[in-house]
Amino acid sequence: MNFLGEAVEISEKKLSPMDLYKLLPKTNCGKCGSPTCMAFAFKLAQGAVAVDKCPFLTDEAKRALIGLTAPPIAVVAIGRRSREVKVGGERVSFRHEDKFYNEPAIAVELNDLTDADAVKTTLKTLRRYEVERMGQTLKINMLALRNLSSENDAFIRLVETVRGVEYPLIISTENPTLAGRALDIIRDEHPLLHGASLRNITMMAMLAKRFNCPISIKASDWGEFLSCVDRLKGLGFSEIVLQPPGDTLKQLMENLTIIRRLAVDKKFTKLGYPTIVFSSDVKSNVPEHLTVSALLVRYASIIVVKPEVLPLIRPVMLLRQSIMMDPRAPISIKPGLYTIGEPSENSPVLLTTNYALTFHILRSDLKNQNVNCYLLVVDTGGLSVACSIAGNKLKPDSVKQMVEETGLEAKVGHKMLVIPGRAAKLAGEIEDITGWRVLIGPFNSKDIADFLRKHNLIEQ
Amino acid sequence: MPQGQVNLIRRLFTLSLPLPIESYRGVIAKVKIGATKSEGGSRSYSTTVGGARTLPFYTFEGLNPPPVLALEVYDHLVSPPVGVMEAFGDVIMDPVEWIRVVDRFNPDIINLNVRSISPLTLNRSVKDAMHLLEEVLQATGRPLMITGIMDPIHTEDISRNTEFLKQAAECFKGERLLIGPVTVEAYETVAEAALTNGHNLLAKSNMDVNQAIRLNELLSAKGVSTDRIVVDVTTGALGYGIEYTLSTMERLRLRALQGDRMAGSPMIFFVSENVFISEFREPPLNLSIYETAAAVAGLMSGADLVSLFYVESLHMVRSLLSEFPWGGG
Repeated sequence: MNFLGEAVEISEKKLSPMDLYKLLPKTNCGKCGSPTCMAFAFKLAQGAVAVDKCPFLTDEAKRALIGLTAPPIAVVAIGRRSREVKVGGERVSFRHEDKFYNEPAIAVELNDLTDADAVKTTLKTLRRYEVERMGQTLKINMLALRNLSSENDAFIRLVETVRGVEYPLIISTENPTLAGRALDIIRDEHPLLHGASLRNITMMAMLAKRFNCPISIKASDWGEFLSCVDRLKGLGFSEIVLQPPGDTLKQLMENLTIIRRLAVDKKFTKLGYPTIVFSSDVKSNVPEHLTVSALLVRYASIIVVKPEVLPLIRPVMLLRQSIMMDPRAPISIKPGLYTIGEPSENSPVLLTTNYALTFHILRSDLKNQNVNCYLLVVDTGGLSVACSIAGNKLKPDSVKQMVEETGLEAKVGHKMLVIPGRAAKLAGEIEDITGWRVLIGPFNSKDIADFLRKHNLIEQ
Repeated sequence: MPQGQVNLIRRLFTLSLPLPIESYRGVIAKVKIGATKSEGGSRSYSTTVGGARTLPFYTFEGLNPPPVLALEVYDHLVSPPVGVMEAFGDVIMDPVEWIRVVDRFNPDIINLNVRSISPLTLNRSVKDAMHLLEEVLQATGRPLMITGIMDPIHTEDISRNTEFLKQAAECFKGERLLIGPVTVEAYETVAEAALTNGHNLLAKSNMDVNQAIRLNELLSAKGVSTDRIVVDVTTGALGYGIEYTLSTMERLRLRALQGDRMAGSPMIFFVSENVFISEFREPPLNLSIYETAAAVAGLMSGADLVSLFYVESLHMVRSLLSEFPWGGG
C-alpha cells in the first residue's frame, strides 16, 4: 500500500473473540442468554448480540467492547424515532461473508423548481408503488427536499408544502441560512442535513448540532472529504453520511467500492459511514432503473431518484429485497400441516418446502383455483423446491417425520401424497420411507387444479 | 499499466487516500465461440467469453474484457410472456424467422433453446431438431449457443438431452458451438462429442460453488479444459431466489481470482426467467425492465455472458456497459 501526505492507519486484522473475552467478567453466569462468557464473546464478534446483554460490565469494559464490536460502517438513523430509517451498519463487502444489515434507502427527490401542485401530486402517488411481498412491505423510504432554485423562498415554500408527511426527510442545500430556516420548520423530524463541504462546514455543523440531526458531506474530492470528516468527528459527530465524488456511473461505482473496501476490509475508519448518491445527477444515457440497480448492488446506502423513475422502481425494490435476504437464514415458514380452503378427509395432500416465497405463491395459486386441500410443509432450511433438490435438503426422512408429527394419517382417509414435479427424482424413496403412495405433480403451481382433476383427486 | 489507471492512482495519491488495490493470482479462462470459414466453420466471426483479471466493475484495479451478450430464441414457447407477441409478432412460432429477427439487433451470440425435444412436452425427435439446426446455421452467421432441456431432472429428459447434444456436436463439427447443459449426472457422452468435434460446453450446476468446481474437475478429467467450458449457476429470477445465483457467482469468481483454476471458467447468467413470471405481468410495465435489472445485478456479480430475451434489453444493457472502460483481457 502506498501513501502520500498524512499517514493513514490501515489494518486487516479480523475481530477475534479472544480480544472480547478478555473484557468480559468470565463468571459464566448465563444472564446474557449464552451459557458461557466465551460463547457470548463469539456472538459479539459476529455482531449477533448487543454488548449490553451482559449486566456485569464495568463502564470502561463496556465502552471498549462497543468500540471493538461496532460495525465498520456506522449506523445512521434518519427521521422521527417512530418511523426512522436506518442506513449503514454494514460489516462485509459480499453478502455471503455474513449478510447485509440495512437495506439501501430509496429517496424521492422533490426540488424547489417544481411547482407546489406537482409536488402534491407526487406525494399522493408514492403509496401506489408499495408492494406487500413475503410479509414485507417494499416501499419508498424517504423524501429528499433539494434546493436548486436561486430564489431563497422557493425552498422554504417546498419545505412548507411537504411538512407533515410521514416520510423521513433529507434537507439538501449548501446554503446554511436556508438550511437553518428549513430545519426550523420541521424541527422535530430528525432529518438528514445534506450539503456540508469545506466552504460551509462550520455553519452546517452548528445547525446539525442545534437541531440534533445527522449530517451529510458533499465534497468534490477525497481530500475535502477527509478534512470534513475530521472536523465533524472533532465536534463529536458520529452520524455522518458521505456523498462520494463523481458524476459518471463509472466514477460513482469506483468510489462507492473504494469507500466500502477501505472501511470494511481495511478498517479505514475515516470513511466508515453510509453513502448517499443522486442517481438523476449521473451523466449517462443509461435507463435510470439500471443506474439505480447498479448503485444499489454496489453499496450505495441512500439512492435519491427523480419522481419520473417511480414507474420503473418495482424491479429495483425486488432486487433490493433479494440481496437483503440473510444467506444464513432465508425467509422461511414453520414446517407443519396447513389447510387450504376447507379440506375433508378425502382432500388431497400436497407436499412442499418451507421457503416462504414457495409457500406464499403455492397457497395463493391454490386459493385462486378454489382447491380444498392439505399442504404438508417440510423443513428444507428455508430453501425453494429447486434449490432444496439441488442442495439435497429435501429429505425423505423429514417427510416421514412430518407425516408422523402432524398426525396426518388420522386426518385423511387415504395415503396419497402429491409431490412437486421438480422433486420427481425423490418419488421412489419417499414412497419407500413413508409407506405413502406418491404422485408426481406438475412443475408449475398454476397447473395444480387441472392436475388434481385429471387424477380424480378433486371434484370435476 | 493502462493510462486510466495511472491517472487514477495519481489522483488518489495527491488526495492522501490509500487506494485499496488487490492483486489476484488467478485469471478467468477465455472461451472462443464460433468458428469462421478459415477456422473450419461457417460463422462470420467468433466471440471470446471470459478473460477477466479482476472483480467486475472494479475499474480502479484493472480493466476486464467486456461481457458478451446473447439473445435467446426458443423453438417452442408454451405460454409466451405478456408483450412477447407485441414485441416479436408471429415470428415466435417459427424459430428460423425469429433468429432472422434477433440477428438484426446485433447480439454477440444467439442462443437457440431446443426445448421441444423433451419427451414430457412436444417430444420432437432429435433428427427433426437437427433439420432445425441446419436451417438456423443458414439463417445467421453469428456464433451460436445451442441448448437443449435446461432442467433435465427426469431420466427421459436426461437421456434425450444427451442424445440431442451429441448429435448436434457431430452434425455441426468444427462450428465451435457452445452446447449444453451438461450436469454432474450426465456429462461424459456430450463431453467426448464436444472434444472430438471442436465445441464448447455449458456446464450447469445449482447454486453450489463446490458442485460447479466438481463438474469442471470431472470435465477436465475427460480432457475438456476450463477454456472450453462456460459455467451456469443460475437458479432463480428476480425475487425468486436470484440472490443465490448472485452469491454463487461472486464466490466462484473470488475463488477463481484467488487462484483456483477449476473455478476459472467464465460464467453465464440466464435472465430470461424473469420474463416468464406471472407476478410481473402487470401492464403497462415492459418486462424488459425486470430482465435488465436482473442482468445488471448478474454483471456486477461477475457474469461474463448474459443471455437475454428482449431485444430492448440488449440495448439497455449495452448502454450500461458503454459507460465503462474495457480491456483486452
